[in-house]
Amino acid sequence: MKSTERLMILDGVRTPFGKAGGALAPLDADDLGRLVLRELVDRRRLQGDDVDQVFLGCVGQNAKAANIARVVALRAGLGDHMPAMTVHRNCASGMEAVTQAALRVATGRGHTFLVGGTESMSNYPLEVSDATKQLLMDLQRARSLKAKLGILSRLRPRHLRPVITLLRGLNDPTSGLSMGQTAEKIAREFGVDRDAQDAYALRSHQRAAAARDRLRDEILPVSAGPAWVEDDESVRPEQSMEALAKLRPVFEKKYGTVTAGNACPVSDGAVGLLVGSEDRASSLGIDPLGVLVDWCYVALDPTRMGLGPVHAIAKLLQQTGLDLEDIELFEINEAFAAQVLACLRAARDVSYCRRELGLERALGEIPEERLNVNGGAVALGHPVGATGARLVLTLLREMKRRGLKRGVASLCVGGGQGAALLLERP
Amino acid sequence: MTTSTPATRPETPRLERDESGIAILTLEGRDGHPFILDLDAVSALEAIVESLEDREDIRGLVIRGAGTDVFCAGADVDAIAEMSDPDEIMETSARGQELFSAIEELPFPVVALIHGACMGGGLELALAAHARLVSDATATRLALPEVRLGILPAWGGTTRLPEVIGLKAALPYLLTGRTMYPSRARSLGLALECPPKELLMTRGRQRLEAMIEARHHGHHGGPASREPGIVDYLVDEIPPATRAYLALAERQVKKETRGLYPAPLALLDVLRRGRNKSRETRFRLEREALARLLPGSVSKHLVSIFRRSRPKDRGGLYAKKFAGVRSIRRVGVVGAGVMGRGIAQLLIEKGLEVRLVDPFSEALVRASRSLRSAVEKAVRRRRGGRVEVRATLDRLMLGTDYSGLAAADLIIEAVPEIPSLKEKVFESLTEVLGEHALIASNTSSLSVAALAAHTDRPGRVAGLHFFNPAPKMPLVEVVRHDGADELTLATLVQFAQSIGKTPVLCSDAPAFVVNRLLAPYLLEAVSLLADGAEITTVDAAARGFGLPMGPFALMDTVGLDVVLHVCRHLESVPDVGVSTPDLIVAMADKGLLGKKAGMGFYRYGKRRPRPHTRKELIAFDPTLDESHFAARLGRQALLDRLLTVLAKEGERVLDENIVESRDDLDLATIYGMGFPPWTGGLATWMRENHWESESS
Repeated sequence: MKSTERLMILDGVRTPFGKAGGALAPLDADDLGRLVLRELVDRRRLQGDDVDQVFLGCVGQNAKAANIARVVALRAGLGDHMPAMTVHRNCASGMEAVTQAALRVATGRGHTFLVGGTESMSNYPLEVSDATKQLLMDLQRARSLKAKLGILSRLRPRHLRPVITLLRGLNDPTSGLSMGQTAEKIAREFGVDRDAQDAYALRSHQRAAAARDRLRDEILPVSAGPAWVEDDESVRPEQSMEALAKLRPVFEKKYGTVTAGNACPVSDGAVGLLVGSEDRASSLGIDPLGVLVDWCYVALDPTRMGLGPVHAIAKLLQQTGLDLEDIELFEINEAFAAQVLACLRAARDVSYCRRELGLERALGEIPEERLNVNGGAVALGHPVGATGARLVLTLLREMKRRGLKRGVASLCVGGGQGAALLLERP
Repeated sequence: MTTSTPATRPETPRLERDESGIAILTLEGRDGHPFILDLDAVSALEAIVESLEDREDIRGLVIRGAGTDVFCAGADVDAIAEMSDPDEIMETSARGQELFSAIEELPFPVVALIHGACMGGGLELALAAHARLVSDATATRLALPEVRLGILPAWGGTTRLPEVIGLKAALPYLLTGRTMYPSRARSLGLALECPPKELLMTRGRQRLEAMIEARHHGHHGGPASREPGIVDYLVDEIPPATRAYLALAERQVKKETRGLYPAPLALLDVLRRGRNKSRETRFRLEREALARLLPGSVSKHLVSIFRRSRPKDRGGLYAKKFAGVRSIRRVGVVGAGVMGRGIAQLLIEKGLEVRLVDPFSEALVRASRSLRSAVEKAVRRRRGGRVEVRATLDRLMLGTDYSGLAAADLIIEAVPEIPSLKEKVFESLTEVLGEHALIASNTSSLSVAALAAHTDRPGRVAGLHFFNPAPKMPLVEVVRHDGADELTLATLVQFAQSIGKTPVLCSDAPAFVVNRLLAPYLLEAVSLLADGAEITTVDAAARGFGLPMGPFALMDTVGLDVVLHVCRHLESVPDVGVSTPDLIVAMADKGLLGKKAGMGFYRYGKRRPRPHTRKELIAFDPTLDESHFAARLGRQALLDRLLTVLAKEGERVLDENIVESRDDLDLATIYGMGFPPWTGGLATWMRENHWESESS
C-alpha cells in the first residue's frame, strides 16, 4: 500500500470568471472546460496516455452535456480512451475533484489526473413549474379534441412563468432558506453589521483590482463571441462605500444586511489543474506548484452553512497537528462578506469553539493580511463548480510569489458542509 | 499486356453461390488493393459472366465490393494512357460494352451493392445491374470522372446513366465528373435505398428476392425508383425539348471551357446524335468519340497530369516511405492574418489539432469568427451537422503567447513579411518547442536559410508556402535550404500530401517558383497597358488561353500591396531583372489595393467589376500618356507577349534548378497559378511550343 504517496499540483490555469449573462455567456460549461484542459495539454505536451483520468466539478450540470467531465475530456482532444467523472459536492466540487485524484494517487490507482471544475451559470436552464408539467402530461394523454380543449382551458398565465433553476439551486432544500438567508442568519448571530460587510466587499474589490496582473498569470484569455476576455469581469476597481451603501438587501427586505454588493456574483468560468504523483512530476519534467498534504470535509447545520470553513479548518489543524499560526496564507471563499466575517469571529470566539468545535480554546486569529490577498469571490466571482479548484490555484501561485511554505484553501458549501485543504510548496 | 485466366488469380474477382441459388460476385482487388477494371479483371469478369449465362441453378446475382472503402476504382488509367491506336481503343471500349450488356442480359435479376468509392468504369458496371443499393457511409461516392481526363465514359455510361436517372439529372455528372453522394443517388433513383453498410447484403437480398418474384409475373428489369418531375419528363421524352436542353448545355460548356476542352462537347454530341437510336448505334457513337478524344493532345495532357500527380509516380521524396518520418498531429500556426487563418481552417478540417497564435487579440477574435462561419459553410456543403461543426472547431485553440505551442509537432509561421519580425518569432519559438518539432515558414519571398539561422535547429526548418485561399489552392511549395535535413523535407512533403495538397520541392531562391513566374508576367501585363492595350482585353486574352483569371484581375485579388512587395523583393535580386512599374507604386500609394480596398485595376461594387479608364490610369501614372500607338494589338499578340515572358522565366527556373524536374514545374504552374491543364503545364507547353531550355 502506497498510502504515503501525496498528490502534487503540477500546473493549473483558469478562464477569466465572467458575470452571468456577461462576456462569457456565449460559452457553455463544456466549452469553458474544454479550453482549460486543452491549454494544459498543449502547454505540458501531454499525450492521451499521460493522463489516467479526468475529474471535473460541475454543480448545475446541463442535460446537454451529461457527465460533463467526459464531454470536456473528449472535446479537449484527450481521446476516446480517457475515463472521466463529474463530481458534485456543491460549492466544494472543484476541491472534490482534486481530492478524488489524491485518493487515487495515495492508493496507487493512477498517477496523473486532469482535475478542476467548470460552470456556466449563464446557461442554467429554465424549467416549467410542476403544475405546468402536469398540464402538459394531461394534454398528451387526452384522446379527443374535446378533452384536449378542456385541458387547455385550464391554462393560466402563471403556467407560463418559468422556474429559474439557478435560483432554485441557491435554495437549501431541507431548511427552505436561500443561501443569502443563511448568511443573514450567521451575520445576526455574530453581529456582523452592514458596514462591516460593505467594507469587506470593498477591500475584496480593491485587492482584486490591484492583483490584476498577478491574476493574469493564472488566467487563460478566451475568445467568446465578439469579445476577447482576459480579466475577471466582476471586479470593480471603482467600487466605493457610497455605492455599496445604496444597495438594498436582497434576501431579507426589512432587517437584512446582505446586498448584491457584499455577496459574490453569479458567474461563469472553468479551472483546470494537472495533478499527479511525485514520480510523474519528475518524469514529465515539471516543477510542481505544490503538494496536497491533507484535507477534510465536515458538515454542520445547513442553515449555518457559511460557518463551514471554521469547522473544516479546525478539523484539518487537528488532523495535522498544526496551529493556525503555522498557516502562512489563506484562501477562504467569499460566498458572502457576512459569512467570511462570521467565520473570522467564530474562530476567535472561545465559547463557539468550545461548544461547536469541541476545542478547549479559541481557534485563533486569521489575520486579514494573510487572507484572500488577491481578493475573493465577492470581486472575482464564484462559478460554483469551479471555485474550489481556483482557490487551490490562486493560493499556490501566491505562495510561490511570496516564497511561503504552507497555506490553506477552504470554503463553505451549500447544504451545510465545509472543506479545507492544506497545501505546501515543495 | 497479357491476360490470364481467373483460375490463376482466384482472388480477383470471386464468384460464390449460396444454398438458396443466389450467386455473389465479389470485386476483390489483387493483394488487398482496390479493385480496378484492368484487362485482367475484364477477362476474368467475361469468363464469370459467360459461365453464369446457362446456369440453371442460379436465381439471381449480387455484385458487391470487397468490404473495403472502394467498390471499384474504375478503369486502369495507366493502360488507358498507353493507348493511341483508334482501332485498339474502340476494341477495348467494345469489350467493356459487351461485358456489361451480357450482365444486363443475364437470365436472372442482378443487383449491385455499393459501398465505398465507385468510380468511372465501376459505376458503369453498377449501372448495368438491374438495381442498385448504396450504403449511407461517407466513404461512398459515385462519379464518372472521365471528362476530367479529357475522355468520356465509353463502357455504356453515356447511355445508361441517362436511362437510369434521366437526361437532365445525368448531364452535370457526365459533363463535369462531379461526385454523387448516397442521399443524392437515392433521390435521383440511381439507388433503391441507402442502408447502413452492415445491412447492405440483407436488404440487397430482400430486394433481389422481390425482383425474382416480379420476374415470375413477367416484370423484367429493376423496380421503378424515381418519379421524374415535369421538366425531367420533357427533356427525356419530347424531342424538341431534348434538343433545346442539349443546346443550352452546349452553350454553357463552351462558356466555361472556352472551347479548350473537347471532351464535354464530344459527349453532348454523342447524346444528341444517339437520341432515340438503338443501343448499338449509341455504343458505336460512344466508342468513336473515345477513339477521337483519347489520342488527342488535351486528353494526353490531362491523363499525364493525373498520373504525374500521384505520389508513387512522382518518386523521390514524394513517394518514399522515409524511415523515421514523425506523424504530425498538433500544429501551431503563428500569425492570424489571412494566410494563418486559411491554413488553420484547412488543418482543422483535415482533423489536426491546431493552435493559432497571434499577439493581437483582435486578430484572434476576427479569426475565430471567420473560421466559425467558414467551417459552418464547409460542413453544411457536405451535409454535415452541428456536431461536426463543433468537433472541427474544437480542434482549434487560440492564444496570444507561445507557451501553448510546447506540444506542437510542427509550427507554421505566417506573420507579415518583415524580416525582423519573422526572425524574432523564430527565436522565441526556439524557447518553447520540443526538440523534435519542425518549424516551417509560409514566407513567400524571404530566404528560408536566413530564418533557419535564427533557431537552434536549422536542419528542422523549411519553407511551407501555401497559396491564398489556403483551404482551396492545391499547391504547397516545400522550400529546402542547404541546411535542411532530408527527414524534415520528407515529413513536410508527406504532411502536405496527407492534407490533400500537391507539394513541390523547390530551392530557397527568391520568390520560389510560382511568385517568381507570376511577377514578370504581371509586370508584362502592366507594360502592355503602357503600349496601349486595355485592361479588359488583356484579361480576356489570358482567360481565352484557359487561365482562371486575367493578370489585372489576379493583381486585384492578390492585392497590389502584395504585388508591390514581391516586385520590390525581386528587384533586389540581380538575375531576375524585375523593375517595378510606376503605375503599381502610384496605385498602391493611393490605396487602390484591389478587391480588398474595393478598387484596384477594377472598381468593385454590387455590380460587375468595371475597369478604370485609360484617363483614370494616366492620372496615376502620367508616363502612360505618351504611348497610345500600339492600341491595335490583337488578343493573340497580347497573349503571345504574356506567355513569352512566362516561358522565359520558366526557362530560368529550370536552368537554376529551382524545381527538381520539368514535371514539378508543370505541377507547380497548374496547381499554383492555374496554368491551363489542357497544356499539360508550363514545362510541357514550353517544350511543345519550342521553348527549349538551354540545359535540356
